[in-house]
Amino acid sequence: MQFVNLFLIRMIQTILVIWVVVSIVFVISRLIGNPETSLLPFDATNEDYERIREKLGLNEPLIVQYGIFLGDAVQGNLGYSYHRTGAALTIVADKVLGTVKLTAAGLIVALGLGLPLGVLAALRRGSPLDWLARLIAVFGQATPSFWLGLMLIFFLATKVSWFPTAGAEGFRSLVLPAFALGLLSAAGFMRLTRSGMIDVLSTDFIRTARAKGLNERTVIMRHGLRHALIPVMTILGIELGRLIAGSVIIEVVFSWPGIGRLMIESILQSDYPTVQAGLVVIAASITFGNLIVDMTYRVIDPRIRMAAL
Amino acid sequence: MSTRNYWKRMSHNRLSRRTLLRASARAGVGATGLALVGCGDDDDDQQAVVEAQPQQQQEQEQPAQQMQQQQQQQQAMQQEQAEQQAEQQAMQQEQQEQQAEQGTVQAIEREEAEQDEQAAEPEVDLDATVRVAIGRYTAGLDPQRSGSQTNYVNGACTFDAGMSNHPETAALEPNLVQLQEIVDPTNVIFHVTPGVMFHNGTPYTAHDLEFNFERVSSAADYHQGGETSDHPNEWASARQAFGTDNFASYSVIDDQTFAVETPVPNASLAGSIMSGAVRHVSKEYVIENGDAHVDGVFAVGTGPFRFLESDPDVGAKWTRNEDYHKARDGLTNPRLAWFKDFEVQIRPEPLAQIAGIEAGEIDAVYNLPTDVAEPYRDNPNFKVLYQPSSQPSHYIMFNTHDSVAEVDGVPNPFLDIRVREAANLAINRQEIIDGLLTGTEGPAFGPYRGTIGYPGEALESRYHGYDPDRAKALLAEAGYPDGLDIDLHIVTDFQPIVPIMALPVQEYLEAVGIRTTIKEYLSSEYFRTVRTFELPGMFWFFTNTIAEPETVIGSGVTESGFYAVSVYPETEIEELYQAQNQALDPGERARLLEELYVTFYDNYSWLFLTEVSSATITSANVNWPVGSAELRGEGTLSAIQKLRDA
Repeated sequence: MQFVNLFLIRMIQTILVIWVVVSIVFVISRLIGNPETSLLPFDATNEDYERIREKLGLNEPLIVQYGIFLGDAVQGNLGYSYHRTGAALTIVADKVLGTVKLTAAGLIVALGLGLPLGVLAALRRGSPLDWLARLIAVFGQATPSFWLGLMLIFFLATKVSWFPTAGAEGFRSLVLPAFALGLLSAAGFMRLTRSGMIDVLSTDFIRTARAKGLNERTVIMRHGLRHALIPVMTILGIELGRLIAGSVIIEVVFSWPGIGRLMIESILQSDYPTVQAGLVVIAASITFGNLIVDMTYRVIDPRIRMAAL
Repeated sequence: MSTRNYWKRMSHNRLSRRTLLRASARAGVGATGLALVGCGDDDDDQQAVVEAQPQQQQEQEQPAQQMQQQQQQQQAMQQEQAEQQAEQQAMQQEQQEQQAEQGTVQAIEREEAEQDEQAAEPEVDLDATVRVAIGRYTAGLDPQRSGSQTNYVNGACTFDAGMSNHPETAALEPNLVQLQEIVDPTNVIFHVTPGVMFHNGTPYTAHDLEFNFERVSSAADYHQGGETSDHPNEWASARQAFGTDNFASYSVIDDQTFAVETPVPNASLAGSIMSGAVRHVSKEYVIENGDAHVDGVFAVGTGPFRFLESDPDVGAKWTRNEDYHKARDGLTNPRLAWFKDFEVQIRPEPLAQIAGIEAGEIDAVYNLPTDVAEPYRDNPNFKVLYQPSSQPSHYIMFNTHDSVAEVDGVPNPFLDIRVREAANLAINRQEIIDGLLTGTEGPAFGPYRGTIGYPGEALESRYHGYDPDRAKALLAEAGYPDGLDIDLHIVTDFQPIVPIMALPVQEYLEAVGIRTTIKEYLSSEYFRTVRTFELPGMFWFFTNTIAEPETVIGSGVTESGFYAVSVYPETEIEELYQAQNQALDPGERARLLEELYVTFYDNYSWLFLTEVSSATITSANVNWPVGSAELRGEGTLSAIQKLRDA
């Protein structure tokens, strides 16, 4: 029951976060440009401007526009795109799968690289492997993802033609963007796993496990890693948000059809409804992602579950 | 085997054969000489020569044999003559052999040159698929959306314009309709080109022409779509770009003939209403399916390609319209395409576009910033081509409107021609061209691009040049010995070069005393701000690539123009503008236009800056030929040639 209550409280917090984000976007997008100027040609008359402002409801005071927007939003209507055909939310929803694929692949790269490297580095502390792992971590955290993306295209797509340079056709086209997206998070996971493992391996219960005669593999995987992963789980939600945000640039670099690319295009065209719908979806993804991580965290760590109670 | 290796090997073969021929010719000459010497009497003579010296020694020792000695001397002389003859014969033979050798070598070289020539012009692959990358391709298949900047590629591939432009002169040429027939100064007739068919098999008639005029000018009856097709922007754009505001009346005379009446003679009518700003749809198809269908589902036109499918995030596909009404080897684009299938891939990042070429996924990318293309200039895998950008001629307009008669309580400085002249003399255009641009551009002279016939000699001889001392003197003479402070308004997101070029321009101006504060705008704000004519200062602007002069001078030069920030009622500019627009004789119009341009330039009406180029990159096996007045872009896609095994 306590758990359900906690879930409900977090749900309300999540909805509040989305509302705040959307409200900020609503105000900022109206401060940075007028959509009618991007919709109309250079030689449009003042009458054309007035007509389109009237049609788009832009002549209303900002607070009225905001009220209309919120009223429509709670009914799932985030308006119609100014430049594309159809409802903004539908257009964004069509791109969700692309971004989910990319983000998931990026997460797999991040965990697939970060965790094993972190464990190995901790087990062979001070060895060349440890140095290498830490070097990779520094490189990953210091390298902008768009630059890494361009380098990957240059070397692995144009020079050796192992992967396509762009697009979203098949598994091969996912590899480079996933790697470019996931390397930064992989570095974070690696460092956390390494430090967590080093801490855990020097604790009494690990010593006890070894004294009991358990083999080293069981000691590390069952007792050591399980505890070392708790801080990793803590930042998983944050990294998920970072991956979704990072996908905006990666989608542009790799011509990957997703929400990020749609957002960039819509911002350039002052397509408010699509920008707002995209941000609602992104904000919801990140906050719900965090919510799920938070809940999972409590499930896997009895101490936190008990603390919450 | 790669082509390069093939030709390298052939080159080696050519040298070997040549060497072999020369060697065998020389061997032949030698052998012939030996044969001549060794045959008949000459053979004995030669032996005698060889033995002569001992015999002569004996004759000196035996004077009684003097007669015999003389005979022997005669014989020796005869032998010598015979040897000379033999040598001459041998030389002649050698010459003949050499001539024969040269003839043979020349023949071989001719043959190889022909082969080279054939190899230099590899066969065009008529069944090829050409893939082009572009940065953005938004939804909307209706060509009137295309006319409003959203989807140029579909507009130019699937649809056609009323007329096209000659690739060298930019003069109007027939396309869907023939050149206008002037009945009287205010009545013109357009004859529809016979045999033009829409992709759905229906013929293009004067009724379609009328339908398209009506659809863009008062489209209410035809807008059957809901929220998907009634964006007012498309229709507003099309109406004005189409020039239908100039109509007094129009009517269909028969299936092939359409008549237009204008309130006053209008020299730019055909160039406006038949331009590529609006592409023609099928009346039958639109009425049957509705605008929403045309916009969102399938596009049917008369263009050089039949539309297949599109996804605004991925790209679009077309296939060649085999029944296209214009020949493949004609001069004017569009034409029956040189390749079969056409794909557009959406790649927002220019470097990813170029990477696509290197990886063989893309054949061409156009309208790139020149600095992006610079590293690929000497790469044999690419062809880098420069041409005027989509905003080819840059200038700064001085706000001289009545609304800014005063700036900060003093008279507007730009109302004084000396200040405008000083601003023009302050800029070292060549340094900008060499240091910032590609070095191939020239100075700007007015509201047009240089590749369509301007500037002529009359303008070039008036070039303002760079003279900062004279600029300072002019400012002092105008009452600004300490210079002046003014705003320079620029748009930052329209052409990347603008904010970059604004900095040296600012420095040049400051060097003569015109201290500017750069005010930056996004295009969504800028163009509307410009049109208010209320802000004092200078406004960065540029011309377009459309050949019809009216499209720029009608909006930027004439006093009623949308963007005519610089107006000079005291000059003859307005009078000349009106006169050229009513001059139906092309020669007379050209003369008046030149007078207008010269007057405008001599008046220092704008701060004329420079031309700006854009780059096209293609893979090495792609030809994209265009005329001097044409630009590589949507309108010339059908001219792309993809070569076999290049």
